[in-house]
Amino acid sequence: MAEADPIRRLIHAFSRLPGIGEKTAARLTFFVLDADESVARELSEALGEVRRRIRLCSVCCNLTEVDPCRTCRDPRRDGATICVVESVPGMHAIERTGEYRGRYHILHGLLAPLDGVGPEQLHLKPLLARLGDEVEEVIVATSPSVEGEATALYIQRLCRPLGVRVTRIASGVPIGADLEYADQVTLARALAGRREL
Amino acid sequence: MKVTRLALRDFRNFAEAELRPHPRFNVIWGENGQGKTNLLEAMYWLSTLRPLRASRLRELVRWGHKATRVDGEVEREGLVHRLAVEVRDGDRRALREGKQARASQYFGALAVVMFTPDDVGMVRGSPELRRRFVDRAIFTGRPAHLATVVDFRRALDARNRLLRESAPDDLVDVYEATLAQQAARLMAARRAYVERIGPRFAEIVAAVAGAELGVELSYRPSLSVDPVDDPAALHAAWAADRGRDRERGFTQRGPQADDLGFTLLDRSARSYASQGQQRAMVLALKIAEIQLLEAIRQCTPVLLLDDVSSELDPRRNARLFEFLGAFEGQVFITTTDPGFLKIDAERRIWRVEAGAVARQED
Ligand SMILES: Nc1ncnc2c1ncn2[C@@H]1O[C@H](COP(=O)(O)OP(=O)(O)O)[C@@H](O)[C@H]1O
Ligand SMILES: [Mg+2]
Ligand SMILES: [Zn+2]
Repeated sequence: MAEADPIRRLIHAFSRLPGIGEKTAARLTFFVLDADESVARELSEALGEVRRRIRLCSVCCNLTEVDPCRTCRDPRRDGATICVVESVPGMHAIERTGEYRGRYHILHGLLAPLDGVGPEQLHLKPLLARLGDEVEEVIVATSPSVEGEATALYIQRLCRPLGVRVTRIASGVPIGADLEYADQVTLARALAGRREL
Repeated sequence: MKVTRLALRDFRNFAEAELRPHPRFNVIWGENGQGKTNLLEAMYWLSTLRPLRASRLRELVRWGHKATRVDGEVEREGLVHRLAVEVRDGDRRALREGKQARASQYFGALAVVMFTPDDVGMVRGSPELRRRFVDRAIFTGRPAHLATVVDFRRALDARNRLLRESAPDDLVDVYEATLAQQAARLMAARRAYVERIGPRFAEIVAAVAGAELGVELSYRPSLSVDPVDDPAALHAAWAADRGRDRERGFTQRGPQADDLGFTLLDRSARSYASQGQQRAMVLALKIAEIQLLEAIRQCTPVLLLDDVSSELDPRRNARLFEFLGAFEGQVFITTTDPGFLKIDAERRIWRVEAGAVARQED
């Protein structure tokens, strides 16, 4: 069988990326073909390099070039708290708040039996390995979805026997989001979970 | 709220159709199999983003075509909202004011209450019909209920999967706790709704029958704990069921098996009420649903009545039209015989024939 021609191959490769359909994949492909040759070179080098040089931090499972990662090496961070997040973008979201100065742990997923994701697929063992003397609190910052709730409970059960305090972030209306645009489900749940002031 | 414009493209057997409905009564008249129910389904889909009858979105697309779209203009408190829903490349998209909207941001502009011949069998039929009634009714007034139902279903499917895969107890237990959180939310909503609609329902039945019939509507949770929505108690009940559920390969008890009870003088209406009494009950239930929406949500829904006159005897049919005469909202009503319909004014007649709709001069 003949190999697919290079154009079709690139379209196919782009269309495997999240959020990119067949049409956008074709547009990107023809853009690369029309653009200066440096665009294609830079893209292919960057793609190759990112896979070659980036790996998981052996401590927190962050994606990193150096092991342990920069966050884990930072001596100004408070080692008494670990914030557990689903993904690296989740960690960046919390970093951007500027409110948290503890350490992180990245699961790279949530428990999802329907998608065949069990505890073994999550990076839980390295988390347990970190729960030595210094750690006092584990903050579970998974999303308020069914999977996020189940994962939070699972982590709570794992940590409880080790004498570590486990907390869960509150879910509610994103601050700054105009109430009118906060979606109905988020608002309804925020109302249901309201606290005494 | 009123639908002021409705347009269909390649929806079911309609190639292209456009209507400017009357703000009060719209009679949709045609022989069987011409597309009357399809027309109501288009509005139902526009309102709820769920097909009425189809199990797959593809069934909504006109045979031999790839995409379908329904556009609507809805007037509410003097403002016109533009809604659209389409299926294209197998995906559904909802649009508000021409811009793609997430489902949770889409709902609310158009609320519909539908009454079909299937509803007429609700008292006698399977519990599934009654669960669907209560969840749809809650959703119409409170669209966020959809997320409650969907999340509960996900948690339930996850537990069932774990049971079948013989997953370890600690993992199943975590899912039982998660399921209990979701179930508690769902059960609380159902209980609250039945508590609210029950008394109105009994009153309306009494008014229709002209006497106290002693009817009662109650929520019958399959997993009965006290209070009915206590997550810890639900969790404990599922943990206790786990062994048997593992053998069965699914979760036997829970909101997925809930029911509503209709009783007549403390006896099950399912077995003791006459066919006529059962129909009167369903009619009363629908009227109570609408009144509740108006009273509590200050929302007058658009009524979609599919071929119901043919299912009701003349006396109950007369009651229906008495109610409709007093109802201030917009009504779409299909029939094969306009003679059934006691609507003489404030109406527009639409003739449906082989997937085409035309306004008929009165
Ligand atoms: N996706 C579809 N494409 C074309 N025709 C369809 C489609 N789905 C249903 N139909 C046709 O629609 C007709 C039924 O319309 P319906 O609205 O149920 O009729 P009625 O006027 O009796 O309510 C049938 O003739 C059926 O073949
Ligand atoms: Mg029909
Ligand atoms: Zn690290």
